[in-house]
Amino acid sequence: MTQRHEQLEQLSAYLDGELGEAERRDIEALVGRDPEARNLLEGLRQTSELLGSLPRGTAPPDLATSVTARLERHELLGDSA
Amino acid sequence: MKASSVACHLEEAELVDLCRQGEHSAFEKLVHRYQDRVFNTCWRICGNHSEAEDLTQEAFVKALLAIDRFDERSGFYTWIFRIATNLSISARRKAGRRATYSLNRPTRGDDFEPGGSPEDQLRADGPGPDERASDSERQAAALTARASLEEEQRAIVILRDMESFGYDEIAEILEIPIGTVKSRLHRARLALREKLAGKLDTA
Repeated sequence: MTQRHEQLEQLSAYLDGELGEAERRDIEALVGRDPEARNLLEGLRQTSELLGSLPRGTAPPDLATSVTARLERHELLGDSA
Repeated sequence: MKASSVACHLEEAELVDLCRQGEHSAFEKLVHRYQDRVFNTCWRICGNHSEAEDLTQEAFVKALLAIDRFDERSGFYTWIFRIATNLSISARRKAGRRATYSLNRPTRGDDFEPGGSPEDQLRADGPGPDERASDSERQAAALTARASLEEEQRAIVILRDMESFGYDEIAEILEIPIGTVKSRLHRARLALREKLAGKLDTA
């Protein structure tokens, strides 16, 4: 595996702030000189942001009550969870 | 564990201790704290709203029944997300490819209940102004792309890009090395980027 390929594999971790200082500097140097790497980084960033923008749901408001009732039934009857 | 979560972890430890003493109100507090995030994770992995409700409930029940085996070196949230993620991945596998995230629109007889999927929720929001319609289209494409990922990749994308867990936390939840988190997440994003070609501003 080439050094460039290894660095491209690090782009997601760079986006997520999960690289050490030396690796981060290496990626920034790569992106500064390599348009393909820059484009890939931007595509990954947009992909991540798009996924993060997807709608959220909320749990049923009576979830805790349902869980407690199920636990009490388990304690009383020995039901499986 | 991140420094910012230490105080939260300590409070959790107290609640877990109370749970071990049979204090149901303490467990209800833990449920309230995490129920929406756990529900979302289940929903996004399994793809079905009502099944996600059952899985969320089952995850919390399993957690409390096994509270004596909980390892306090990890946060309770790590533990509950591990249980919920494993349950959801198993449910998704059992459902197979016929499942709720059909690439086609659902038809009568599918277990794709109206209003039950994230895609339905997007459709229910309506097209809105042009700009919002464009966003909605991109989100619908992202849902379809995400649904096409295999279970482990989908779970990791959900834990990172939607629930904002750090790599170390994801490694704990999924019980895999951080290096695997890094490579699996990158491959998942590459696959999604490819599937979303034409929907993103870059090539």
